[in-house]
Amino acid sequence: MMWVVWRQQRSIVVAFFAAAVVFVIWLIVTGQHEQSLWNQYLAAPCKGRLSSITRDVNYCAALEAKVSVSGAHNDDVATVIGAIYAPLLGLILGVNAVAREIEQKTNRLAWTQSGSRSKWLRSKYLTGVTTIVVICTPLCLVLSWWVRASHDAARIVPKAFPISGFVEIGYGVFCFVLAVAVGLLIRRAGWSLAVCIIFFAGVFLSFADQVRPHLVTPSVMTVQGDQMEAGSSSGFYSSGGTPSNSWQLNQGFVPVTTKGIPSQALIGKSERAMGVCEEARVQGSYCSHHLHLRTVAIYIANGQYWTLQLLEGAFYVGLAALLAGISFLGIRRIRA
Amino acid sequence: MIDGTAVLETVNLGKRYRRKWGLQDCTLTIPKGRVAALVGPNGAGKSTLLRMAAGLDQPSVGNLRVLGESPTSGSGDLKERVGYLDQERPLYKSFRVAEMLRFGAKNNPNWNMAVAQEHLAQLDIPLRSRIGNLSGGQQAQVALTLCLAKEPELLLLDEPAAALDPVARDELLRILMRQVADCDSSVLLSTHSLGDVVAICDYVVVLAHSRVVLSNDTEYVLESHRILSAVHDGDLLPPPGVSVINSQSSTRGQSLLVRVELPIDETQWRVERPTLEEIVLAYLREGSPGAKDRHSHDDEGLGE
Amino acid sequence: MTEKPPSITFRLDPRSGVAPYRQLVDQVRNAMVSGLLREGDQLPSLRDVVTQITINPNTVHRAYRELEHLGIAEGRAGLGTFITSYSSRPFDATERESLERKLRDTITEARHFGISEEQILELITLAFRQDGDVRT
Repeated sequence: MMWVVWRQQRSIVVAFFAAAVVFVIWLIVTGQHEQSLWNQYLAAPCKGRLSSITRDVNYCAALEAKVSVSGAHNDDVATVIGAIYAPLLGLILGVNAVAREIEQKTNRLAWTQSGSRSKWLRSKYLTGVTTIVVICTPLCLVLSWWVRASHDAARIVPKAFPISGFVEIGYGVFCFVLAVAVGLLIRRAGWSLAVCIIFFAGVFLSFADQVRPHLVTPSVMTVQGDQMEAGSSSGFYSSGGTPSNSWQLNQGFVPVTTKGIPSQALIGKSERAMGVCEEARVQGSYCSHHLHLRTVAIYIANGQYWTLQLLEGAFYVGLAALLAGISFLGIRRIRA
Repeated sequence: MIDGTAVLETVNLGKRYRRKWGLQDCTLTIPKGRVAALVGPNGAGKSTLLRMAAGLDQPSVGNLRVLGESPTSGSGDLKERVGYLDQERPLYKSFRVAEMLRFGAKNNPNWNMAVAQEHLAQLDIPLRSRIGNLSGGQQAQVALTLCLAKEPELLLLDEPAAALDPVARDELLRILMRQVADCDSSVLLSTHSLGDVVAICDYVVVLAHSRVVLSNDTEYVLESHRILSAVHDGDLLPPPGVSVINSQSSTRGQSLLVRVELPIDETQWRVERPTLEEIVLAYLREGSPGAKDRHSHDDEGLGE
Repeated sequence: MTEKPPSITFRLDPRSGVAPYRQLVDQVRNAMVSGLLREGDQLPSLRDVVTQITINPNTVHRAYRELEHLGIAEGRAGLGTFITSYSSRPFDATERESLERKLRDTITEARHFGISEEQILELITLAFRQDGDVRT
């Protein structure tokens, strides 16, 4: 049975595999290129920032420009392709496995051979999930390396998180199971694909926006005024003085006495108070002292990275398992 | 009523799709060893019956037994013994013929690869061709081969001869008959045109308006029906001992197709034997509900 | 494998009101009358007939059983079905001509009275039955 499922998905897998090979080669080439540029920039005399020594300023400025510009375009391409590869693979495999079969009525052939419908569905799931894991694991390894090498963003921030680590395999598996389950319901390949794309996009964006920041307890730190102005320091990716490679969730003024994690409402209130004060006075630091406010940054530290990956991966895989379970319950009742 | 040697038995079987009944009040017993034709216009319920027998659909009401078992009770064993060919003759268009056979082998423990390859070789269908590149008739043959090579006890074929040119149809039916000769399989095939299959069927089931109006051995049907015609001026009463299925009047006469229960008085009426098609057509035209009394489970036929 | 021509080529008229197996029986009997089939000839096997024409093998089986029942043929285990010595005597020419003439006259007369072909055949069948001969 597995041979049959494999044979049915063979051309899709070959196409995606070829695309992955091309993508990986491109990632390696551009990643190495950017890595070497950064190494130059981080080394003497620039040491990762504009040198204060006059004669080096132009040289470092030029390097910095190269590093940020040459990276930008490649980074966007890589991020987009990297982020959609596994979900797309999952969706197309899933739609092909079930919706297309039902649309072409070959399920009437398959379900009148020996073996139950459950066995049929089981083979579909097993083959699809195995394919996704086998293809995406090496790709994830290369992407994770690339995230580090390209210095585009910290691996924990939303821009890079989906393409680093192994959470993408979770996306792929979820998309596959989703497409299978939806295919059983909608029974048409085109519509199933459309519905699944919209649904997955919704789930993914909502989760990244609303749930991921709350998966772990963030840290709060007070930021000295002048640190905020410092911008990029030797630990770049930090803004406003938070530790390097962390994911800054929020930043602003809060009363000095605040304990724990301040709410957005509290920050907003303090911001408004500062605003009123600053209209009257010039110096910002007077207002914060006068109003007994301090600047805080709320962030999730780099050390939480694998926890986030695990939790988010578990969510998607768990949801996939739930959908799969429901589909097994429904498979007997479905009209052939 | 339970006949241990029947290949298909239904009692009050019905299937409902949303608000419409695809099949109702279906009570049939098809004995073993027959090549049975399921005849009726499109929408009469033929595919519905075959799909339920193949286990693709669940009955809404009533009882259904195929080879003594219920098709939907989940035992995979029954699917090994029954071959089903859907009206759409689904195949994987991107597969090669040889891969399609491999599909059959992987999915059926009783698969006989030699038989499958022999059939296709006789029809000159190369194993290397892609299914999508074969003609309609060749695809139908491959689809049929998938059923035949698992050497089932019962073949359920939904319009196997439809949309085939006469040569292709003849070839397909001939291969089917060879299988019946070799393996003693029973066959239930549906058709909306009896003429296509009248040469090979020895049992006939007529469906009209989702109901069974006739089901019996063709020999019995032929022996028990006559056409009576007479010349007269007014309306003549049919003789006693007959059941009028269909009547047609002309200017000076009347022609009745009847089922005979008692010997007919031949002085007033001219008696002729109708063909099977004429009989079936009469039942289809008349096709009223309450046709249960026209069923007969007399497998022996007249006079034996 | 040598291809021997079959001893008889069957034809089925699906549009006839006569049951298919009966048609085959009649064809065998006609073949014997005209000398196409003689005592000891083997009738084609089920599989051969089914390969020759598109016909239900049960029909052939039934026809052969009927021929055995009538004593016209006999099955020999493992070998096939063979024509027996019963009524294998072909007509000689004069007997045949005389009978054909008589039948033609009777038919012409019947037609004259408006009796149909079907009814004539029924009459003949009736006559056989009354004769106490085997059931036809």
